[in-house]
Amino acid sequence: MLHLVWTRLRARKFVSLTIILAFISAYLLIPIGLYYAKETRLAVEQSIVEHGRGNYDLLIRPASARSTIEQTLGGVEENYIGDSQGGISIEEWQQIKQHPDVEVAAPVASIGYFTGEKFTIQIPELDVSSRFTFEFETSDGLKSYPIAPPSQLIYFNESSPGFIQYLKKMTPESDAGSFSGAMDIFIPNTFHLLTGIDMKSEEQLTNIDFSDFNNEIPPLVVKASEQLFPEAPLIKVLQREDLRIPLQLKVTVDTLDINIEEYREKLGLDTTAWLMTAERSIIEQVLAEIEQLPAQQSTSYDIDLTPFYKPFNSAGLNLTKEFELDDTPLSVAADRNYIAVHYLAKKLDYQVKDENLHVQMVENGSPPSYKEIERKGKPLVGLEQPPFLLQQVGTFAPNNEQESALTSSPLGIYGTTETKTTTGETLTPTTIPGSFIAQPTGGIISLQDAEIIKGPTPIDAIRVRLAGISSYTQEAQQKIEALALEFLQQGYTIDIVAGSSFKEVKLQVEGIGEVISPWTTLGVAQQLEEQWNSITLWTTILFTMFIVAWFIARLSFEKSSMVYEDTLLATIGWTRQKIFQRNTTEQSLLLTMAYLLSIVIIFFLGFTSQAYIITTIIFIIALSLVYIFFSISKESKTRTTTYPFLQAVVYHRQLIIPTMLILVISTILFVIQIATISDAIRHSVETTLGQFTVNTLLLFQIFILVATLVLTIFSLFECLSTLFYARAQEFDMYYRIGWTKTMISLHVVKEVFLWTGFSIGLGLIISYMILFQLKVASYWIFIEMLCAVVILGIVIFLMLAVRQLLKAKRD
Amino acid sequence: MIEIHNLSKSFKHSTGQTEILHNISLTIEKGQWYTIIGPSGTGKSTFLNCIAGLLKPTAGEVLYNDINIYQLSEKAKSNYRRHHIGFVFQDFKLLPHYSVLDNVILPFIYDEAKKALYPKAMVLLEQIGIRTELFKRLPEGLSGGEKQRVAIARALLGKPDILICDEPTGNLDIANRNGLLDLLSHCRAQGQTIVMVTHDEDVAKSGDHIYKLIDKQLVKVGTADATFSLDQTTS
Repeated sequence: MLHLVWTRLRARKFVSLTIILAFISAYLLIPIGLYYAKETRLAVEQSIVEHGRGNYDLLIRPASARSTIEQTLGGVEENYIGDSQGGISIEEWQQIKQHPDVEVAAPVASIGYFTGEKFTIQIPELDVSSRFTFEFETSDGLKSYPIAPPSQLIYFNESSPGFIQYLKKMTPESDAGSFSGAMDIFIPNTFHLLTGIDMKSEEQLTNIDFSDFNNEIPPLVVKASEQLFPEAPLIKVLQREDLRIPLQLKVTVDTLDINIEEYREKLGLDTTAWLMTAERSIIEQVLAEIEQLPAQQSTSYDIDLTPFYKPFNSAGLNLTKEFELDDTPLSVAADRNYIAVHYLAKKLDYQVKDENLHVQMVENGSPPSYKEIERKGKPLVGLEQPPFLLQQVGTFAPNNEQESALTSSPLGIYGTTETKTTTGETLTPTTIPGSFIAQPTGGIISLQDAEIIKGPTPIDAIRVRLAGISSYTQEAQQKIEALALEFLQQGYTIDIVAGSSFKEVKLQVEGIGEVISPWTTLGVAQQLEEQWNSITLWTTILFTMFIVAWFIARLSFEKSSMVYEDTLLATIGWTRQKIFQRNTTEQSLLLTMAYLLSIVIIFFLGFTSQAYIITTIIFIIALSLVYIFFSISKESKTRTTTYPFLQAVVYHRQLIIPTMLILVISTILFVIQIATISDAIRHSVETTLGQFTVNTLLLFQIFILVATLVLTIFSLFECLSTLFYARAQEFDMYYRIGWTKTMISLHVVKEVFLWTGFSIGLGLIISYMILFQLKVASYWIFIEMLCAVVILGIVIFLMLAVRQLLKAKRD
Repeated sequence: MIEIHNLSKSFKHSTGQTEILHNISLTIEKGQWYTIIGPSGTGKSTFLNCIAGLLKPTAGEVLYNDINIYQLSEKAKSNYRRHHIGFVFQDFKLLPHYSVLDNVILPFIYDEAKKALYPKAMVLLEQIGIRTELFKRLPEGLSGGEKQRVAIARALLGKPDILICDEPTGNLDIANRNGLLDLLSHCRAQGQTIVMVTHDEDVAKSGDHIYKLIDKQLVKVGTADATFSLDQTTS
C-alpha cells in the first residue's frame, strides 16, 4: 500500500511538493501569525501603559469652555486658557482637591497681559560726540516688526568732568517724562502673560520650584507703596527665569563733528549747565537740527535683548562701550505707571474654509494681532487708588523635559511645544497680547491674588491627577473615566487627558502661511488600543478562515481528482475500505512529511514550546479532517444535457469552486488587512504616541501580510497544478486537433481569468461591504483595486509559469 | 500525397536511447486506405504522430505535397493538422463538458467563420448517423459507437485530405465496428486518404494497403485485392 502511495506521490512530484510546501506554510504561519498577533496586542498595550500617561489625567474647565474648534478637532490646543474668562471659584477648586480619588488638583487662572515694570538700558559714554538711533523690534520667527518709532539720543563729548552731556526727546510713552544723570533709554511697552496658580499643587504637578514665592517684598517697597497707595494690595510676582520673548535692539552710532559750546548757546544755557535742563521745545528744535547733520562715521549694532528681558524684574540693563549687554547698570530708572494696566486676549478665531483651518489677522499692525484684545485697568498717574500693585519677589524656571514626548498633557502656561511653518521655521510669540503664538506665562501670582484681580471665579482650568495610578492600564482608564463622569455631572467641561497624544494640526495663518501646530488629541491611547485590537482580531479570524478554507478546498479537489482512479480500483476489485485507506494514507503522508519538516524549522527558528503545541494541534485537526472528508461518499449522477454557459468551468466545478473560495477569502483577507492596517496607521501617525506604536508594530503586521501572500501563492499554485494535471489530456487533444500552443494558452488563460476575475471581484465587493461597515475611508477602494491588480498579477505569473511547463513538457 | 523517406525515431531515457522506428520509407497515395497492424509497443502510434507533424523524427523526412512538414513553422504545422489531417482516437477524446455539436466544431472554435460551420457540422452528424436530439447532449450520454461517430465527424469537418485513425475500433462492439468501417469506406470513396492503426486483423483487411510494423520496419503484408496471410509474413 505504502509503495503504491509513494509511487503516486513521486509521479505527481510537482503537485506533491506544492502540497508539502503549502502545509509547511500553514504549520509555520499559523503559530507565527498568532504569536505576532499576540505580540501586536501586547506591544500596543505596553506602549500605552508605559507612555500613555502625562503630567495629569483630567482637565476640568468651566461649563461650555470647549470651543467649537476643539469639538471639531477632538482635541485641546496648547494654550487652552487663552481668553482669561475664568469661571471656577477657589471654593470649587478646593472641593475638587478634597475628592479622595484626586492626588493633585492644580488650578490655573490666566490674569492677562501686563507690561510689568518698564526699565532702562544705560548707554555708554563714547570718546567722541555721537548720535545714537534706537529701534526696538520683535519677531514672530519669520519676520521682524518694529514695536516703537525710532528714537534718538545725542551725546556731547566733553573733556572736563561733570555732567554727562546729552540730549534726547522726552515723551510720556518713551520715558515717562523723566530723565536721569546717566544716559539711558526706556524699553518700549511689551506685554507679558501673568498667571495665577496654587504654588503647592503646581509644584506637585510639575516639579517646578516656586519657593521664591515665600520671599518677602522689600520693606522699602512696602513702605513706599503704603505711602502712595495705602489701599492698593501689593501682589507678589514670580518672574519666569528663562522667558524668551523675542526683543531686538538696533543701535546706529553716528560720530558727529559738533561743539557743545555752540549748542549750549542754541539751547540758551550757560557754560556749566546740564544740557537736558533746557526748555523742551528748544531741545526738540536742536535735536531736529542735529538729526540733519552728516555722520563722520556710522556703525550699527544688533543687540538681542531676549535673554535679558525680565518684564516683572526692574533690574535694568547696561550697554558697554563695546555694545554688549549686561545686567549691571550703574543707574536704573523704572516706570511703574502701567503696572495695573492689563489686556485680555480672546482665543484665536479658527475658521474652517475648504476643509482647512484658517486664522485671520484681527489687526495688521506691527506686529500683527490675531486676537481680539480688551484693555483692563488704568495707569497710576492720575489714579487715586489703583486696584492692585505688582511686585516681583523671585523667579521660577520650568523644566521642559519633564513630559514624555509621546504623550501630551498641555500645562497651558509654560509653552512647552513648538509651532512651525511647513517649511520648518519655528514660530515665536511676539511682544503683544494678540500674538499668533500664545506667550508662555512670564509671571506667576497666587490664586488668592488672582481673585483680587479677576474676581470671585478666577480659575480657567484645573489639571487633575488621580490618586493610586502608576501607569495607564485598563483599570486606570476605567477609574479616570468614572471620575471624569462624576465631575461632568457637576457641570464642568471635562477632557480625559490621560492617554492623549500630540497631533499636528495644519493651519493657514494670514501673514505667515501654512503652519503646523501641536494639539493634544484626547483619548488617543484608548483609540489606538481599540484600533489595533480590532486589526488583530480581523487578522486572526481571516487568517484562520483562510487556512480552513484552503485545507477543505484542497481536500475537495484532491478527492475530485481521485474519482477516476477510485472507480478503476473498484473495478479491478479493491474494496471500498482499501481505496479509503489508500487515499487517506497519501494525504496523511503528505501532512506528516510537512509536519516533521515544520518541527525542524520551528526548532531552528527557536520558537517557544507554544509553537510546537499549535503546530501539533493543527496537524491533528488536519489529519482528522482528512479521515472525515474521505469517509463521506456521495453518488454522483451522470449529466447528459449541456451546461447553458461556461461549460468547462461548470464541468470542472469540483476543482474550480474550492480554488475560487480560496481566492475570494484571500482577496478579502488582503484587502481588509491592508485597508485596516493602512487606516490604523494613517490615524495613528497623526499623534506621537500613535507613531511610536506604529513603529513598534508595523514589522509584525507586514510579516502577517507577507505570510498570507505566500500561502495564497502556494494554494493557487497547487489548485492550478491539480486542475491542469486533471485536464492534461484535454490540452493534449487540443494540440492534436490542430490548435497552436498559443491558442491553447489563450483558451486556458481566458477561462482561468474568468473565474479568478469573478472570485476576486466577489472578494472585493464583500471586503468593501465589510470596510464600509468598519467606516474605513472610501478612498481605500483604491487600495482594494491595487490588491486586485497584485492578485491578478500573481495569477498571470502562475499561468505563464504553467504554460511554460506545458510547453516544456510538450517539447 | 505524403512521402516518408528513411524515417527513424528514437526516444531518450535515463539509461540511454531506444529506437522505435528505423529507416521507414512509404508513399501514401491520395484516396487510398492504409492499415498498419502490429503488437502493442511496436511504434504504430509513434508512426502516426510522425506523419501528423506531432513528433519530429530522429532522422528522415515526411513530405506532404513535396513540403517537409518538420521544416514548417509551429503555426503552419498546426494549420496542416487542422486543415489537412483529421484525427480519430481509440478513446474518442471528446470533451466531456462540451455538447456533441461543440465537440465537432472544436478544431475551428477560434476561427472567424465558426458560425458558418455549425450547419455544416449538423449535416455531417446526421450523415454519419447521429440523431438530431443528441446534438446538444454531453458525450457522457452517448454510446461508444455514437461517441466514435462524433469523433469522426470532428475529424471530417475540415474536409481533411488524410484521416489518421489510431485504433478507432478498439472500444467498439462488432456492430459499431462494422458501422465505423463503412463510414471510413465512404470517406475513402469521397477521395479521402485513410491511415489507420489497428490490432484487429479483420479491420486491417478493410484497407487497400496493409502493413505490419515489425522490428521497427513497415512490411507490406497485403492489399485489398490479394491479402497475404498475416501469420506467414510475420516470420
